[in-house]
Amino acid sequence: MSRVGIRNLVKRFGSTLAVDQVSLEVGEGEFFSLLGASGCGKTTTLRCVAGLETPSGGEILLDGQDVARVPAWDRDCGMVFQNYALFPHMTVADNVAYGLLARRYRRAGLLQRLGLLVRAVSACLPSEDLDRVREALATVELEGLEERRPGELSGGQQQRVALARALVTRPRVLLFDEPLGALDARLRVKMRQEIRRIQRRAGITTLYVTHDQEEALSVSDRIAVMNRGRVVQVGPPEELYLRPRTRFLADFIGLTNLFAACPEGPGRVRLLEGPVLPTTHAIPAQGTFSVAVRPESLRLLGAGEEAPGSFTGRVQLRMFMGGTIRLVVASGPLEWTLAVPLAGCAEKLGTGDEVRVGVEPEDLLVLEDSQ
Amino acid sequence: MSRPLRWLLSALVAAFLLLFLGLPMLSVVLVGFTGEPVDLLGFLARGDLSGLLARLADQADWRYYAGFFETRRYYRGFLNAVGAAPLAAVLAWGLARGLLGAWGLLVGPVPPRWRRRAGLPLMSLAFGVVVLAGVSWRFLVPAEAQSAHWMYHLAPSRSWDGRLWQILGFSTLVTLSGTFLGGIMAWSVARTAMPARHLVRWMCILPLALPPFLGALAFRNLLGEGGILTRFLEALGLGTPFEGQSVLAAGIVQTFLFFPFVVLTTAAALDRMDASLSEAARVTGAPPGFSLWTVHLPMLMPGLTAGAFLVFIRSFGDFAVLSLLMPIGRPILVVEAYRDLAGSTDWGGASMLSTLMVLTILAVLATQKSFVEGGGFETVTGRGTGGGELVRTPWICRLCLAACAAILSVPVLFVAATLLVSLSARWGVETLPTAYTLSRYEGILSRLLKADSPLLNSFALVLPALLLAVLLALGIAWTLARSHHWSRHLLDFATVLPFVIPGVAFAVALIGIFNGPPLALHLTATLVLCAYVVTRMPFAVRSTLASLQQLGPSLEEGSRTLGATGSLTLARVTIPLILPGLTAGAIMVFISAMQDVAITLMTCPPRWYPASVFVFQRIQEGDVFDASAYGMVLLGLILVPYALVWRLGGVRTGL
Repeated sequence: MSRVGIRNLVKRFGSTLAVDQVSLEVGEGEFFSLLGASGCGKTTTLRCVAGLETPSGGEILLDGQDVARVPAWDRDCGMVFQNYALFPHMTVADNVAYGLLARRYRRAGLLQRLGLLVRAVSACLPSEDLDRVREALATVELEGLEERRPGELSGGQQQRVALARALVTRPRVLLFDEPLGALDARLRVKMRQEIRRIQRRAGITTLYVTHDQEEALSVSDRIAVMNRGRVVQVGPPEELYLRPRTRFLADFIGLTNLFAACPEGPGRVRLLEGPVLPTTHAIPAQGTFSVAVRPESLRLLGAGEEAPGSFTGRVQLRMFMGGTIRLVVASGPLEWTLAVPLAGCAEKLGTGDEVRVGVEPEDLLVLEDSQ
Repeated sequence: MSRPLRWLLSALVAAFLLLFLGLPMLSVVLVGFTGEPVDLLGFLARGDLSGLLARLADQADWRYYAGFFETRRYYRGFLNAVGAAPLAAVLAWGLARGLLGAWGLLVGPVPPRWRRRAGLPLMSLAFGVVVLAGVSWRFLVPAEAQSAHWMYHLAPSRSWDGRLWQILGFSTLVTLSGTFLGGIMAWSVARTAMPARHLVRWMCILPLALPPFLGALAFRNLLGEGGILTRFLEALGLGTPFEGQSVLAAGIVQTFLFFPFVVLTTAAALDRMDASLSEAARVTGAPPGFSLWTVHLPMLMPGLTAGAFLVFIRSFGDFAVLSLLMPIGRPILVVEAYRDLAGSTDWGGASMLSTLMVLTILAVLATQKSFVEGGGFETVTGRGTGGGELVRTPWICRLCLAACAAILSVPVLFVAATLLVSLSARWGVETLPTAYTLSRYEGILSRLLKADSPLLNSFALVLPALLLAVLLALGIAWTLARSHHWSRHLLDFATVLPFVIPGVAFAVALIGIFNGPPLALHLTATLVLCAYVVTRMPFAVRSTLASLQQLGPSLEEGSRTLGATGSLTLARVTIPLILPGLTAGAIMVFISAMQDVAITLMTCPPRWYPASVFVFQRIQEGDVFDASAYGMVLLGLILVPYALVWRLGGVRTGL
């Protein structure tokens, strides 16, 4: 178990700035995700930690030690690649044992190295390595597939082999680069639970890169959302979802109602071309800013029911989503999206009906307008 | 295209392939038993199969094959070319595979781990034992018993390094050294950011386009007796490093002419290699030395061995260099086969050796394939990301550039020396000519349109062959790509076979069948032309087939649903789209036919001798000046179209 520190990391590719002054601290045993759209610099950050890219500036610390001059093979990381990167010419067992043999090779003298090369080529594993390989394969529930080739496995099985290969050496840090991107939706959900379960049991510090917010929200202890090479916000999943600080983040994570607004007295904002609503969040003294409300925070008001903030509108669209009904309500030029529980007044609602919608002051978030 | 017309065309193609490929190959096998031509065509024309069988039963025996082991220049010719140690290794490999197969049949499924462990160690063991025995036997056997010892037949040389040569085999050594040079160059151009690496890739055209006989000539001009470098070295008081006719000379020429095959196949494999694999190796803890042996080399093995195989078949079947540069005391298979027929009209011996050559190459091909498939190597798939970041360390880049420059300087010097010789007017004992002239080129030009002009003959033979080959290739490639009939596998084999048959063996086969009636085509231009078509058409077939397969049938189907007839679809859709592939193939047919020596020399009437044979004969006679001038013209005629194909992307297959 190790701590990972990233201090003011900068990475340039020619004239493009891929990673711009990124600083992060990942605690021991923590499951930490880097979340962002493609091209936001999250994979490059991960590759800098792995030692696959040389940073243009800043520091990478493993347990407080700068590893800038440590080559990738000496950093003692385990990595799962997006395309798994299993060696196609080796069996599953040889793939998993690769890291163990490589570590033996690094420690060995010249003659022993020759012997190890012959071993690696003729696939004769030392028996203790074989035990550890079996153990790792048992962890990912792949017993009995030792002699298969990667080409003979399904995508999910290949994924598990890649995980076993990263785990078997008991690395200081586990790195995942979009590990579930190539799987179908159902398998993705299953595997991410699996990864989380195994990681928690092994207690290995984990850095996880993904563009899938649901994936990041469901498995991480903490998440760093990145945009254009910078970290936008770091925090636990709930905080990022419920209290986004910027317009970008509110828009990026989950479905949200985003409107431009201006101040209207203490604790009240006026949505541009819309109603005046109360909020408990700090409001800038002047100028326009963004406000956001999650669809599930909006409430349909029954007859005679009151709320601190409310407005009326007409139902434009009604979508059945399973547990909830999604309503699109037009109020003046503004369109609001609501997610209301199936049981309740929404059941009888249809397109064109007039409704009253209530907003709690603490649910109306006031955002910084980041670029 | 209407159905009867299609049938007619298919029948014509099949008849052509049968007549000029199938029957000759059958005949060469038969003649190896009967000792004289069988008149296969005559029997078939009369429909007299029982007569043919009676004749075979009457005449056939094993004495020519038995003669192989009794005739010293036969078995030594074979061992000198292939080598006893590689032969033992291939046999050991076959044995291991055979035992595993038998185990699988008799006992049960073979554990996959065995499959990888069985072949390679046994192969290395057999190889090592034969090398050790071959090198050391003279130390172990008393001097008076040596000439009677059986090892004397394998490695008779007095010096230990001479015995090593004999044990390893000439073509195997050329293959090894060519693969080594080609591997270095491929890695340099594909994986480093060395300056001028695109230029280096381009420069590979030069050795590829240089006909082997020109390589032999160039070696003489450069390093042979009276060669330019030899004169320089003598002037410096360093003596002569090379003999004009020696094993080393032939080895150098072949190595530096054939190594680009390895560059092509290996660089292509490196380009396609998945970068994340080597990254995975690094993150998993493997230092570069370890991942090179465990990840990179095994992944490159298919490309590397495919290139090595191409070098081997070129070296093994290359009549021109071997007959021009091999010393008299070193029999070599392809030359012995030629001598048997052209010198002493020994039909049995020549046919037996030709059959043996084809079998050897097929065995090597089978070993290469099973080595790649069963040896735990994986063909690099096409979804790679180009191998990841290039190596940019300055000293590595400089070293690679120096190595590439050194390797490429040899063929460049070859051409430069030939050019200098062709331009020299007066050249006494000085290191460089004292006067220069263009008169030889003027002579070629003024003779160009005369009746006996070698260049005119070249065009007269090659251009009709080219036309015919392209038409045939179009039909065959289309059939291969679109037909599902079982016979397409036969067709496929028929268009691959000519790639691997040495020219001399094919010529022996042709002469065996067209030597007399009913089709006495031997020593006519028609036979040469048809031989060019059959042996060179595969270039056009492969390259057209590649474009057709990329094209897919949906466009043609689209055209047909719009109401176009088959021939309109062919003319307006298919041919325009596959034109680059077809052009590349056609150019390859042209340059390859322009280079041919073995088939032409053996089957062509002297009145029709093309430029290639003309140059070959001038070299044999020792007239290097005229040979050089003609050679340069020929090289120009080959190099320019070759550069064009390269641009069209047609050389990627390495064929």
